[in-house]
Amino acid sequence: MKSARCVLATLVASFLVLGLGACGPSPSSNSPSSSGGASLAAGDYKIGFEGMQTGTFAATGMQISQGGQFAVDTINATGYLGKGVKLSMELRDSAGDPAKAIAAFNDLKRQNVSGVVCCAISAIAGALKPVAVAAKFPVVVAGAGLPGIAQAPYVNRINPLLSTPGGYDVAVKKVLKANPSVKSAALVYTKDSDGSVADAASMEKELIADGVKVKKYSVLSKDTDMSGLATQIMAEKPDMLIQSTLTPVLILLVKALRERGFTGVDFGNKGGATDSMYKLGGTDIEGMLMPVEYDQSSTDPTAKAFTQAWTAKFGSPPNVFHAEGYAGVYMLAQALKDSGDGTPEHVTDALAKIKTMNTVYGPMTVSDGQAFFAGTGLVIVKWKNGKIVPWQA
Amino acid sequence: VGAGYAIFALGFGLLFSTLKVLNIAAGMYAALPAVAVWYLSDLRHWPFAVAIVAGLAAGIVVAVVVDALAFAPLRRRNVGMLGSLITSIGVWFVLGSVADNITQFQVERYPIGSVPRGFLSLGIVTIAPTALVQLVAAVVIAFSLHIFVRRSRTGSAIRAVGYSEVSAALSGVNVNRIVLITTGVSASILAVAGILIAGTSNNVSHALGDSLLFKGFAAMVIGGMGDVRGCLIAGLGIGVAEVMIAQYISTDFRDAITYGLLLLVLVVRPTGIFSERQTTRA
Repeated sequence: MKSARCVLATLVASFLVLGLGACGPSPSSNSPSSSGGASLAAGDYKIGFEGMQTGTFAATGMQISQGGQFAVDTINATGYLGKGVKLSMELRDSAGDPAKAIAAFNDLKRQNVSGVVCCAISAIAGALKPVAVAAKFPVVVAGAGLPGIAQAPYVNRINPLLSTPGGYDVAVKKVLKANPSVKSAALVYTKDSDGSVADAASMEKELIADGVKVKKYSVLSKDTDMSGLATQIMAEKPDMLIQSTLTPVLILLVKALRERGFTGVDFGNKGGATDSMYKLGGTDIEGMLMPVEYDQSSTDPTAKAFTQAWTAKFGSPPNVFHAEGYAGVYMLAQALKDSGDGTPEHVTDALAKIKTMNTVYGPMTVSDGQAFFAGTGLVIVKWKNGKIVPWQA
Repeated sequence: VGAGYAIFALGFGLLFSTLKVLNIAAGMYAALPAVAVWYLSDLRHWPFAVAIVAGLAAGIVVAVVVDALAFAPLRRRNVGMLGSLITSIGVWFVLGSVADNITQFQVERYPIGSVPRGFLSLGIVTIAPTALVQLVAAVVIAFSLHIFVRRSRTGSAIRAVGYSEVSAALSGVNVNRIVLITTGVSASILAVAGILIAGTSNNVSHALGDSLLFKGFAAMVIGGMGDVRGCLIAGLGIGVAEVMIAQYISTDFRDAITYGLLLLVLVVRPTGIFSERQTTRA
């Protein structure tokens, strides 16, 4: 009986992997529009992955690198790079420290990788950008949200900027339209994260444009006690809480406010859309609206194939951070494939030619190394009974 | 908020004034017991009260072992404060890594239902039960510590060792025993701070200790290193100031004003606002 189950599981997994190859990031669906279509010579190729495996943001970093490794496994299983090609991923830990990230990047270069996927946070991306440009080495940023990071052809970013069309302009408007009684908002942001500050500015712009009175509050990424801030926010009685904060502040603040009786609209961010954050927040974060680039219930073929294959392997659906690592590796893999030989110079050239991609975020366009939504843009999800479900206005 | 800083400052101050070690690892003496309570209650399903007792015991054991392995050899060689400070930074990293590996780098919280939620209405004051427990604990610990240090024979010996280990030894004080007792008492106070704040803030992680360390250090310096009354008042004052500054000025200036106050005290009165009695006492 047990062996029969194993055979069945193997068949299901094989079907899903094949399915992923068929409707996921396949050569036809994922090729750059201006690709010359060169095929990659058979052999072993390596890409680098700078991830945060220790330090404050290790929980997020480990999920992103897990997504990256899954992409590599999928690429090998589906033969995405061509016959006789095997891809491997060299993982280095930056510990969330820019200096260590630069050291990790230099080490990866010495390992003769074809390119590097990196940068879950803006501090790392900002530090690595000039190093990569000076070294003329291809980098794909997956995660960091600070505007101005992409610099084609060397520094490319697969995650869309949330201040661009399809980002907060869509998400904030949707929520305000569904909640016309919102007249005031408490906007909380992490002031020692450039990406959070930039996103907060974008949120504020959208709120003000809709006539909402905004009061801003700042926190530090290391802050852990939200009681003072929660008391302060409650005194202002805002109709809406909107956060451009990093985890765990995002969750701790919601919990502190719920305990104080906050019942307004709770607009969070993608940081809350992971199982570990649900474990931390529990039922207090049910109902928190989370705008995300990747939605596990998406019907987009690439996203759906990713979700199914991941769920088959790990038993639970992937989250937005797994998707970031996955998308980053696929962008670099696409360039690697089109490079013909896997040298960093040719991978750089191939990255510059990518103009469109089908990703787990849906269809994207790429301009000057920066990806933009070409589809519906941010999707809003929320927790319901311990599961992430799409929010219906 | 301030009650937590005050409790931490009491433990930190006792450690500093007696052993003359600016022990940066003290933040981890607070965080690790909280991590232990979470681990035992959430992952091992121990009753919460038992987990708290075990967490306190774990905190004391860690501090005593660290002192024996890392600081006692330095004291024997009379290395001085700088050597101890550098060693404590190393200990901080080691204990932080232990905490990170137990929590798997996640921020955790005590099991649902183990910490009371909501608010109590006490006349015109509305307060969270966890905050009330923290406040009561701060007052009880400060009072008990004051009595212990000033009225008991062991307390006198602790003060004597704090003034001069050599003089204390010549007077017949068993210095090693007093160091052990001081480390244990300090560690238990720091553990209480960590366990309580983890419950109030829903945050069980290595970061808990880091945040307590800086604010608790400020409270200890402002109040007067080793002065029980000063640590209590300064800790509560910093907590109140943080909330008031954020409320009426800006959250941007919250830390700047706290540490600005610390600098001001260091310039104007380096021994701390309430340190006079301690100096006389010593």
